[in-house]
Amino acid sequence: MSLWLTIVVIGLITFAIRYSFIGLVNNADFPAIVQRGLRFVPAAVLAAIIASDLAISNKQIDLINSKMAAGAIAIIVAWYSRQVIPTLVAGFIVFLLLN
Amino acid sequence: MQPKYRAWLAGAKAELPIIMGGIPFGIIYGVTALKLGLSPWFIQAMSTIVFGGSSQMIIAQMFGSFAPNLAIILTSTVVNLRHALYSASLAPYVQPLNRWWKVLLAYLLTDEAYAVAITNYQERNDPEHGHWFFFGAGFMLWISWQISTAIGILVGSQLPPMPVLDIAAALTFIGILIPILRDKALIAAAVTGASVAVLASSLPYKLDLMAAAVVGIGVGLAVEGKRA
Repeated sequence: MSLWLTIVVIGLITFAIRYSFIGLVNNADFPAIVQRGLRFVPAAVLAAIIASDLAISNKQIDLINSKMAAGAIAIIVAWYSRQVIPTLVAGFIVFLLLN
Repeated sequence: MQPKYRAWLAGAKAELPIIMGGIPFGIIYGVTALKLGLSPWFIQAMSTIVFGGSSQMIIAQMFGSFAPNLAIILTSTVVNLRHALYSASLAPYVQPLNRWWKVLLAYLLTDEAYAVAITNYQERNDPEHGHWFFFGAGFMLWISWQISTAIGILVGSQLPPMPVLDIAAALTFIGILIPILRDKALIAAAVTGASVAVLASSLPYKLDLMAAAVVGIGVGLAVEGKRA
């Protein structure tokens, strides 16, 4: 039973974290520096997720591999196409060719 | 079709390529949790109650090694802390919505839904239906997470590995990230975020992402300030 209780508590805390600013704060009250800073959240977080997906294998830094090559080509294609699907296809092709 | 349903479908569609990477993760979670001795219903319930891949993985491992409940609760809290940043960055856009919409969108707020929802809010000029887009994206991820957890529990260990799906999410995020890098400050924030994530990769509990976000925001602000 305590297993289930633990999970319910974790679920509630996780929801509270996600709901925090959405539900309780009037954003206009944030200091100006915070409002300006929040603009950078998507760029910083997405880049971080991409980098750890591509450059980390089994908790080790691994900068030369087929995932990095696929990512590099994908960045170039994304830069010119500005679209997800061509980016995805180009990355897949490079990855499959190298594996 | 009404514009709100069109927005929902657009959000669902935007989420699809990310789901390609999410499904194998859900299956791996189901298989791993089963091997650690958790019961099928409990594993499936975690996917609904917690709905957060990385934290569920760590929780399952801690249950498997009989860690104290309080330690499990604290650890998963730290793992999910980054969602507060997403919550803050979405707050101005969802401010006009009623409480039930906010509860729904908060429940669906994950890395994967945030990525498409925030870029939709920032890039497209359809503030009236942005929450329907967010809902569509979040719902697609949610349903695929529930189904892939079930697949992992039922048939998981018999499925062949498909390494190409490992990079589907990363490639999709590249397709989302690059077009939003419109000025030097945003590029600086992204390059910093990526570098910190790699350098801090040994940090546990997803704190590497948290560190990357905080330092990335700082560098972005500094570059912006210098220009202004």
